[in-house]
Amino acid sequence: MSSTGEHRRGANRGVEMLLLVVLVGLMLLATRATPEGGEGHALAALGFLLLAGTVVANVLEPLGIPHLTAYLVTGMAVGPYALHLVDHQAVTDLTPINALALSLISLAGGAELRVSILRSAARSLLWATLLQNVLVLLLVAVVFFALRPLLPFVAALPLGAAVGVAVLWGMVAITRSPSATLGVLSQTRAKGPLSNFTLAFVMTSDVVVVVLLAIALTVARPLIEPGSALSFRSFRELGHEVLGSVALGCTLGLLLTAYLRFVGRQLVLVFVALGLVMTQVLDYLRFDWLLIFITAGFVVQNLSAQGEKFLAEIERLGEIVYVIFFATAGAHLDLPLLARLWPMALALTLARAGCTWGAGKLSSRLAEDPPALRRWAWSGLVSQAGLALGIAAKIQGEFPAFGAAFAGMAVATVALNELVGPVVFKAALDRTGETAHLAEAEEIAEGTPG
Amino acid sequence: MNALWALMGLIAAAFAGSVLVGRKGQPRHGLASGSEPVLIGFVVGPTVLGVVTPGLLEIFTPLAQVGLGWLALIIGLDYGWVGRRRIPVIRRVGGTLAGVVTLAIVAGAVFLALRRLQPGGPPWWQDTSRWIEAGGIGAACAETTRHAVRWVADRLKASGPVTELLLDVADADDLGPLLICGGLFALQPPAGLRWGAHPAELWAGQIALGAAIGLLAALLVSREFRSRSLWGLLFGTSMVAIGLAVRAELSVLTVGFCMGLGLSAVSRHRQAIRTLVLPAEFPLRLPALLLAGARIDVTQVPLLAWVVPTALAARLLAKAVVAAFAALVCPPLRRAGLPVFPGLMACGPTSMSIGLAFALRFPGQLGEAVLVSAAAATVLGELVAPAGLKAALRRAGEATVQTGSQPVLEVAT
Repeated sequence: MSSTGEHRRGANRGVEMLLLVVLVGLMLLATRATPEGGEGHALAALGFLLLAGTVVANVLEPLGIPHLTAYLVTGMAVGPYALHLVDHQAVTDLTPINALALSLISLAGGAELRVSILRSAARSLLWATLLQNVLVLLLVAVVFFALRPLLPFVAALPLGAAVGVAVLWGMVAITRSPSATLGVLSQTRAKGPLSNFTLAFVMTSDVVVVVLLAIALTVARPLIEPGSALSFRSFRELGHEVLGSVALGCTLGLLLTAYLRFVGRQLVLVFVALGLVMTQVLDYLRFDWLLIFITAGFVVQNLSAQGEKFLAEIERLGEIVYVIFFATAGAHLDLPLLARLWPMALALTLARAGCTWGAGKLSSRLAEDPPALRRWAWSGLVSQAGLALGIAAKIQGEFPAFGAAFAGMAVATVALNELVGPVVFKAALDRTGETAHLAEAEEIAEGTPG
Repeated sequence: MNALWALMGLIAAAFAGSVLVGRKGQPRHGLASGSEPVLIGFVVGPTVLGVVTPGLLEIFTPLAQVGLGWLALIIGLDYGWVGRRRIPVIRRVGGTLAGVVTLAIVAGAVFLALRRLQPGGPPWWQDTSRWIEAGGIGAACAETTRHAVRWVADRLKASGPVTELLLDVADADDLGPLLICGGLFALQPPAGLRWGAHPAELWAGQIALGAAIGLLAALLVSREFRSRSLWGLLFGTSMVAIGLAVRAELSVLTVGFCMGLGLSAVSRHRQAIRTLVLPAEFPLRLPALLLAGARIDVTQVPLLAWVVPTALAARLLAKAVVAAFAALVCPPLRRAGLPVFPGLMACGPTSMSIGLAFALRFPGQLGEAVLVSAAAATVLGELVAPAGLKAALRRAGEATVQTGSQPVLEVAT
């Protein structure tokens, strides 16, 4: 890279930081001049998170920090627990935008999954699915059980109940973050075995996790509540949720294909309708809309010729979607809770990371993966986000006796994984050279006159 | 109807808007002023069918504010330009004066009518609420919409000095009303503002806020000019501007318009930004106008029978003055003759946006009076303006398509 180019980039970042300071000043002024709450707060917060996240991500880019980690940090810094430029009410009011963002991320995730990628990585995926889910669940549960004297909400429980809670914790530990994976891949435009494997694994693991959750709840309930009978209610719900969602996803995928083929205009409005309206309806009907959208994206990509057009349209919104989603997630993070629980959260996070690393090494060896995967296959599986929190919230609802404390600990560990995971994954992609072509493209763009 | 169905309806409306605008090179469908959603909104709103309830309208208030802010931003971005042609300074000044003169005449007439109909109260120079009401009605009745001029010109395939002049004046006359809105909003100090400020300071503050955020957007865009991030930066800056205006109960129209002006004035990527943003105008305008139509409640305006006719009569007079003066200083316009006068009566989206902004900021009688007057002016314009504009362009010899006798109210396809 030429020194002129570096100087120009440096100067640009300086100006951007200055503009960010002006923006922060404006928001501070508004915070002092007007009372909390109200619709204007959410609108200003939305714009501010978007701008601040974008600028901070640009400024931190030379340090190798992924954009979405920068968005998270920005959200944490300006959110209700730190600078308070975005208040609690505004964060709550922005929740529907999160549903829109998540629906787009799921559609993109499904559309990125090509049958050819799944075929080429089938052996690796099979071993990884087995070990990263079953083995990690069991290992993390064992660690959790061993640490139970240090966890107040489990320490007092009888042995059987503690085993049940440990199984549930293992369940939370095996959830990964499709949004973080896609966010890093969208930024880096990485291409290669590691990105293909991670994408395929994380997307398919969404289904596996839903199935395992039903099993875990069925096993854990009699242990935690000894009076309760072994109930297969969860499996009936599971059948409805998974099979129904896949069927609905196929239908939606075909409808989207027909729309792209015969209309092909104003896809943004279609996405808004799906993200803001359909998610609510599907929630009400108790379908898993993440699975529906992943399936729909998969159908559009693999059963029609509209896949590239579809992905291009989603990517147009991608930059906005990721910033809003992760910056809002950052603002939502309960920092005081994290400050209180951080020693145990850190221990559990390290245990999970260690188990994921070990399972990754073992599954790669058994699948005879190429060297890059053997070394780094685990790196994309550290991130956690909304799915883990959703499962923790479900467990909290099912077991109110310890649910709140359990969910609090889950929030703390997810926060750590959410911050560290993307950094690890991006570093791995850089090391394996899968992001190299992007750097080359940037070099060329930098050297282009005008 | 619940909120989800209503939201679906708004999205469908936005989709319809994108279809109605027509493909590139084709004339736009629908009414000349593009105000048919106002009628639909009125019919489905609480006053007529009640499909959309007052509670739902409250839920969608933030959406309406965003729609208004973005429309104002687009008008500001496009101000002083017709396509890729820069409007000459003299015409910009003339157009602005035409808007301000109409505003002043209508506001003055309505103020006098209000004072006469409801005697008593504070002395005239301290009668703030009536000044706000009269000023709001004046601002809502000031424009000649460029959409109607473009609609007629497209159908007649008209081009020439008169067509250009009418387009230029219609574009430039938005400046006065959109800036005045900020001043009128500032006359009633926002209840939520912790610091006291003189109305003039608040007005200047709105203009400065919009311009500063426009400048900020221009600087950010110039550093990150890639189509992927451009939308994000524009969306982010506009949300900050609109959010801060709503938060302080200031005029989103003034702030959004000034942001567009600021961005357009300093950004070297102005054309690219316009190309990116302008297609969003129709999809945004339809839901905003639907909400405006749904909010119309004639029962809330006790002096409706006097106020609205006074406003319309004053608007007729003002446009006659403007047409006469324009013919005096612009010789080509004389060839178009008398039909120019009804042609200038066209109004629509900007008027209705001002009406909606007042209805949101001043709920009740005051806001409704402005909204109802804007709707009445739009209906009157729709009845007389297309025929007037067609006749004017034909008489000027600039219409290349002779379509024979045209219905006054034409719903073209």
